[in-house]
Amino acid sequence: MTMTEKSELSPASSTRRTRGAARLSSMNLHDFGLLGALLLLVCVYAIIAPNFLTEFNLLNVLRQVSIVAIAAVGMTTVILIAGIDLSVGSTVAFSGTLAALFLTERTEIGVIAVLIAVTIAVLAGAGVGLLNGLIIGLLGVPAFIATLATLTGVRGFALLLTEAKPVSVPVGDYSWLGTGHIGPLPVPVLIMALVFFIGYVLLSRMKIGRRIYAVGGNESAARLSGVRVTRLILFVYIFAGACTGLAGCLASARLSSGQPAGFIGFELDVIAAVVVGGTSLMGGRGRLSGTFFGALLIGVLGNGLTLMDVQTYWKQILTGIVIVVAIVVDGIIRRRGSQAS
Amino acid sequence: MSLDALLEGDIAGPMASPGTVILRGEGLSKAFGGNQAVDQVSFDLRAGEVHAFVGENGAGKSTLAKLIAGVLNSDEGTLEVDGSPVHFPGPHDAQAAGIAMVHQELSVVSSLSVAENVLFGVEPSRWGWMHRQKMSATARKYLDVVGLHVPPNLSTARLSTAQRQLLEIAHVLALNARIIILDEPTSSLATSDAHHLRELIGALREAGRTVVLVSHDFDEVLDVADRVTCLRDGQWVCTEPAETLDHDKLIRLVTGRDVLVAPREARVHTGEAPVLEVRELTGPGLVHADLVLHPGEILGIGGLVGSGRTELMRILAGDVRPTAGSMMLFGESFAPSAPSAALKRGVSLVPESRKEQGLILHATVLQNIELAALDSLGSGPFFRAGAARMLAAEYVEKLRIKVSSVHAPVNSLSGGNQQKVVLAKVLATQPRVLLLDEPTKGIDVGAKAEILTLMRGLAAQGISVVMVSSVLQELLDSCDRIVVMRGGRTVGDLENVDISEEDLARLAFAG
Ligand SMILES: Nc1ncnc2c1ncn2[C@@H]1O[C@H](COP(=O)(O)OP(=O)(O)OP(=O)(O)O)[C@@H](O)[C@H]1O
Ligand SMILES: [Mg+2]
Repeated sequence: MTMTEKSELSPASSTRRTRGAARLSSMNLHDFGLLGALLLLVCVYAIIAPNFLTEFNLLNVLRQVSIVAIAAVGMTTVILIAGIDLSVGSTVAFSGTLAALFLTERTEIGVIAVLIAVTIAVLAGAGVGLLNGLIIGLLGVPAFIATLATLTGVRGFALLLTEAKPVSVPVGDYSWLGTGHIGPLPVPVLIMALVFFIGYVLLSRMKIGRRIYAVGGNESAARLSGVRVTRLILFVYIFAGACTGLAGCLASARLSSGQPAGFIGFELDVIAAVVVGGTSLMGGRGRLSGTFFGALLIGVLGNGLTLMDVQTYWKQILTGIVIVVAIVVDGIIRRRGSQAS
Repeated sequence: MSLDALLEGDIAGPMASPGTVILRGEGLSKAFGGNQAVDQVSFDLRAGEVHAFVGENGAGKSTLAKLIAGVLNSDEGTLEVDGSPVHFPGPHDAQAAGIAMVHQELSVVSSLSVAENVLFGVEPSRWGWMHRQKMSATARKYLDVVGLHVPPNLSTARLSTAQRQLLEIAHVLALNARIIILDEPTSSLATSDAHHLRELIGALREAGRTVVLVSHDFDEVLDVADRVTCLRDGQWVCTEPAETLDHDKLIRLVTGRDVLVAPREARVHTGEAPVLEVRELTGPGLVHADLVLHPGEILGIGGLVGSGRTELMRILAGDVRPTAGSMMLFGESFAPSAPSAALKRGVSLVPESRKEQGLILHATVLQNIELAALDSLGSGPFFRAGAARMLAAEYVEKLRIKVSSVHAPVNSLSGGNQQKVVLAKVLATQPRVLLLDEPTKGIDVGAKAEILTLMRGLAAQGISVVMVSSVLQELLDSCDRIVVMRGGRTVGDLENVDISEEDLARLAFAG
């Protein structure tokens, strides 16, 4: 078809016709790739890993994945604006420890106390996010350096709170958050679904989502188009911090304790999930669905190896390989996509 | 330092006597997806000629130029250099054969200095180390030749768009190629620089070089070109000697019709209550500016590059804060803290550089057009994708943006169509005051006339337009009144009645 013929179609009708195709070709290809890789992995494990394909194990994988995935929702928004958050591991430890401190002296933990503990953790995370956002958005410090500073600072603060000792929480409603079920589904999995839904609404159904993509794509063009960039940066880091705080709360609920010295390097798992999910570290490109599949792929990979009693070092090596392969494949898809359009 | 002395050095590839065919393309085709950008094009280039490529936006000029320069590979067809077939897998291979290109979308490396950019790839070295002093001296020669008077060790990030353009031209000169392809080199240059470039192109021809010039400026084409090749929808239309052509013939060749813009009616607005009043404004790059804008007026701002025009526009758009002075909008004080504040008051800017400030290049046409108008697309914080698609489709149609779908990424559009996307984005905010910084940059004759008509239509609805242009004739064609700037000051304010290009030029230059 020549260009003249094309331009004679009314834009509206050609829009409608090509929309489905365009979405399929460029946007979802990565998701399809991930899904394919995931299915392949599941098939292989179904054959070679004992007890892999059981309902118990599959739900268990989801539960294990959920904490990383919840933090990864926030991280996705941060990376979309071409930022990075290295303080996630420290924030998980800090917020979980704070929640545990609130509960530790109680003999009976009721619903109200649990709700307050969750709120404390989420607010603590949001507070760290606010700090990150202020350093980055107002002081203009690069995100990598700003969050490297809060990584250290927040960790120190968490250790200071308890003199580096773990804080145990009496078993009760709080640990239900990390280990309980509603129907067949683990509670953290349901919370993860809720967080992904919120993230989806934010990125795809709200105006701020459009602006997040725009700032990551070209900050000065976005600014000239009326985006208040500093505010947006603050919002994104606060949102990401809140997600991380919630993840920290679930982690402490699962362990029935706050671990101020734990979760070192946790941010790298989170970043890996986002990157494997196809979100570009340059900002402006990526999808939340990719992040979910990315987290799941890494989680399933590790789970099968654990079931087969393979040393965890292998898990690390394979995760590294998966990250590289995902990026390379994504690059190929993207180059094809831009040629074809 | 004259050009002749510079060009004495060894050039890449052998030198042919003037008039002989040195490059021939046969049946060249290139498609992007289903879009046939170049379709069975055959042409030749001769030694010592200036060969112009003309055609509408999206006609395939840049794509054809990139096929010659090895930036793209053709799907079909052959290239011959000096009679023997060649294949250029990449631009390096074309450079080795003596072919170099200045791209329409500038590609200077902002993190390098001016000198490093000029000599990129041909850095003088001593024992494998870069030779800094020699580098500055050599770079300065090329900078002088193109008329870019900045220190060689300046950071490129500090250059304006026009200066970057000159820098890239200096760079291809340094590559010392025998076929030099210039893709719309003058679209962002001031009239004086553009004239200087014409002389430079003439000198290159005298030195036996071949210049391929892609341009929408027909005066320039008629002035410097020996032969003109016209493309339409990717297909070759004709190759004619320039002396057989004139302005009207070129318009007909390029568009396939006569473009008629009704002559401008002189309209005098002074006396009406002003929309925008700027008094004694000072700011970065701006020494003293006074400006009055009336309802429905098209106000032109002329002057040299660096005379403070862009700086004034950026202050008006809220992108930069003034240091002193006052601005009144519709009788109320106007001191926008950010572009968002100016947009809320109905002041919207088409910025100078579409790549850096105008567009999110990898995002779709839709995502770009909807961005500035987001507030009106859906209720409260929620976004209505359907409304955004309708808006984008409406402006794609209104501005006749040549694109297969609003979901195409902007970087797959031709340069002129990218510029129209920026314009669409700004118009979609329904501004009351429209600020245009070089809005017709890279736009073809037909589209220029359309934009001019559009501007008049907006003005007829009472919208006020401020337009910066380096092309004086364009200001005379479109504006009701013209303000001239020099050295950061507004130095003249002329009703556009019985004034000439010379009047404007005199004001812009006078010491
Ligand atoms: N990288 C690309 N991917 C997809 N399509 C492209 C790409 N580059 C160019 N095109 C398409 O090829 C066609 C010709 O583009 P080209 O840039 O050669 O036009 P042009 O004649 O230089 O126009 P202009 O005067 O606007 O610069 C256009 O329809 C454009 O959308
Ligand atoms: Mg072009």
